[in-house]
Amino acid sequence: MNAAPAPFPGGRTLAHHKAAPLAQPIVPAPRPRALNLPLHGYAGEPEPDLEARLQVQPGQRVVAGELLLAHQDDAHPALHAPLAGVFTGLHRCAAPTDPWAAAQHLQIEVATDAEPVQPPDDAPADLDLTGVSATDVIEALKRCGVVGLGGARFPTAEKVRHGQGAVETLIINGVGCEPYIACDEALMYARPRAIILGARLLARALAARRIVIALEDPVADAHGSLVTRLNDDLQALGPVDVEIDVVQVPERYPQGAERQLIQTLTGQAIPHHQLPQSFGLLVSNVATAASAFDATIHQRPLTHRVVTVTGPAMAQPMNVYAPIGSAVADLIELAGGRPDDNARWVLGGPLSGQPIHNLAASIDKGSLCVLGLPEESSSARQSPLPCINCGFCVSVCPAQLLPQQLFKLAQHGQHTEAQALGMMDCIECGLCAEVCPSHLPLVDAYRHSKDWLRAQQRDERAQQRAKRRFDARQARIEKQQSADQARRQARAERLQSQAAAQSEIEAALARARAKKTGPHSPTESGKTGKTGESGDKGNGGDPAT
Amino acid sequence: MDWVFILVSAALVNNFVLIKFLGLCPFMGVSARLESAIGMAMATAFVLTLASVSSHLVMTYVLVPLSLEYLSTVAFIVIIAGLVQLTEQFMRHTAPVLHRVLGIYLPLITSNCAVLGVALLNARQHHSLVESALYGFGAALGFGLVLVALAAMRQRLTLADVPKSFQGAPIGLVTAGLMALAFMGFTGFAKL
Amino acid sequence: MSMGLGVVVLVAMVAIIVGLLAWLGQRFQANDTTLADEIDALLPQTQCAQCGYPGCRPYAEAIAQGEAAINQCPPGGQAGVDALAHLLGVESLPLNEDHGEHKPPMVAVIDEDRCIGCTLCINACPVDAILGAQKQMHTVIADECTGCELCLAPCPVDCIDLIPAPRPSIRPRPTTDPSIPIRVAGA
Repeated sequence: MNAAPAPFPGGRTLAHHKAAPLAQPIVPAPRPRALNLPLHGYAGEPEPDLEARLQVQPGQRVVAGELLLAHQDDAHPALHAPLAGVFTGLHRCAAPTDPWAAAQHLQIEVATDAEPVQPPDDAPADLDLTGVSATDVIEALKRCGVVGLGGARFPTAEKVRHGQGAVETLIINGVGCEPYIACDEALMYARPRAIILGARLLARALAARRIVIALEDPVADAHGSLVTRLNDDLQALGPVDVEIDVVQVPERYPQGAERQLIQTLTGQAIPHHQLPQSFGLLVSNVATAASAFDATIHQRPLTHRVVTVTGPAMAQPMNVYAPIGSAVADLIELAGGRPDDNARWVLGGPLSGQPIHNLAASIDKGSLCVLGLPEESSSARQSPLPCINCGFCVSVCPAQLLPQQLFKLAQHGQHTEAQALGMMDCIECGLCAEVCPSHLPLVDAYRHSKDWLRAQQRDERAQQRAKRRFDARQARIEKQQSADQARRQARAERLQSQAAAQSEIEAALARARAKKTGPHSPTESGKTGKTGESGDKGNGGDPAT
Repeated sequence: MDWVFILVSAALVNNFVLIKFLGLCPFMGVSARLESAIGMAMATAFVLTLASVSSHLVMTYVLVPLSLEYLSTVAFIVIIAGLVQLTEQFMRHTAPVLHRVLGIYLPLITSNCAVLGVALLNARQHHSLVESALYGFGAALGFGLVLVALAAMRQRLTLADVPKSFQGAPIGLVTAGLMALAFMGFTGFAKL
Repeated sequence: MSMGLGVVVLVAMVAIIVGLLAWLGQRFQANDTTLADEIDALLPQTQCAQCGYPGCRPYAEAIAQGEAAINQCPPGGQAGVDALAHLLGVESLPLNEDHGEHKPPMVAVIDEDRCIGCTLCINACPVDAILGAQKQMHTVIADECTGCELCLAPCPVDCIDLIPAPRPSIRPRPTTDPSIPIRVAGA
């Protein structure tokens, strides 16, 4: 499994620009004044049952690592306070990349004496993992709010629970997603043993038999080979019950994307409507593996992550160990950039990242990189020209779609047609926009279209639910009415015979007399009403006699 | 061999729409959407094939023995109208949405000159029963082919940057004209 | 003679065909339920009855039978009318404002301090999205509420409000000038 048997289609080899931030070890972020922890489920939907899940009151003091938002279900992970301070409440602030949306944030005013958290040390070589069960791992993942740190923020506990028993091979993804983004490499240099042990814990929870750690090793010449380091640590950690391989994959964007990585490693192309689990595979990021280790062994909640702050606009590109909720501007200043510069700030990589509209906005668990590109290098600023159907985008698309056709459909609002052509399979890698000679904003159009389609699907589900409930109510009312009808008819038939009617009237009179002699109580009026009703019915029967 | 010849000739070489210019009304009218074009193509194929067979039967066993050949046009129109009604009833039952979508164009198959044209050409060229059926089916095949092709192109054209005065029917007619030019390339492959 | 024969033959043909069609017409009854299903799938299922029919399904059936116009559904908006026109292959109409104006999706909220627990709104709700009992405070299940406004009128203390439903944001379409960039010299 060393050579790539069947590389994924499309893709491109790009200059990696990763050496500068990797020149120094991970830097701890200094104490910020306040933290704004963004609240949104992994799919960007509003958090449900916010009041019920909130564990702290506004004005309450919190300590570092304190639970702020309880884990609700597997799709809505827990959230913890990264630093000590005062919880000031819920605030609606702008999201970093979306100038139109305002997301809810939990705000913490950080205490003046709060110590910045240092990046944790690597795991000791003699750690014993025996006695940790699969349930322990899953519970720890839930409790500590571990989510996929490769950008998707999918709750790891849910991913593991769904993959349990079905996964043969766990792939640990250390392939840097994009040029400039070096947070995964930095973590592999800093904590290789934590990654290996975390991978073993995840494999145990999944009952997987095999672990493959895949990486590109882009700066092996300058900083030493990661493959060698990881292999040395594997030796040091001793023999284990699972087979662990370290595989170097060729540098080719988007090699770090889940399906593309699987195709390179196994030759298996995962059809778009299926999950890797169906093929006995599961991909997890190296940072996720490390935080699974922290959560299970040290009960350390996921409150910090490594963010690469880099790009030509930074004087000193670096990897920052930043608390979740740090402001983007603070990170830029730390790396020697100037937030008031006329640079093009991007959250994420140069291809699939999104422009930052609000530098005061904060990072979340899925923020990999803050990138500052000089204004002139931004191709998005060049005015778009009409599509000339050159087909460059088709040849680089790793998902084998027709980018130019999807773009036209999205721009004309024909989203359903775009879906039929596989719009939802787009991984937003950004290669099509990169190679487009007309500088068309292809990925922006896809994001619009995909958001539209997701909203549409949500509305359709709501409609179907409303229809079901309406039908059920209608059926219930009909049933009630027919039951009433039947009762009335039965009564009318009973009153057909004179003797029956007479005895009915007498029984009603007897009931009324019994009530008159009975004690007066607040329920009297209700009973009188009832008596009157039966009297009415009796009268109704009279004309028949 | 002759039969294949008839089929190919009716479908491509002497395409009823693009070479003989028959049946242009549904060709332009129903080609805005691919689904309705496919429905129309199938309905027309059904009517065309049955119409050529039954008109042949009526011609051979009723009109010729009674030497009423001069009535052929009227008789064929009656037969076609009946068949269209049959198709409509059938479609109303099985595919009501398609029935709604095709709307007025479904009864208008009656006045589709391609249908009457096939029946009359069959009579004039003294085709046998099988030849009539093949000729009708080939004509239907050709009609469906160009109709669906034009609908697909018009659907793609909705995304194109068409000048305002050409949007809609004009660009559709230009496209149909270019298709006709392309179909002229088949000329000489077969005569009939 | 030949003329008479021709007339006889034609009349006979017409008679045979008409008879055949009449028989088939009885065999194949028109099938409007599938059409109503397809129409119903396009309606927003708010069950608000603003169209004049007691729910989306009855309105769909009315459209299928050609009794109702396609532009009577305010929650569906112009997009809904266009979708219906597309399905039925007819010209689209402007939304009929007599039945109400199009509003963004709403959700009902009960002011729990003012609610007296009369259960009138519970009976009015077409999708059973209000929970509560006699003399107990009521509440709206926000996920199930369609924003139909049917609970507003029955409430004796006017304690129900409609607020815009929370929705995930849709990132905007990028603006591109679609025209071919030809510039006239000197212009």
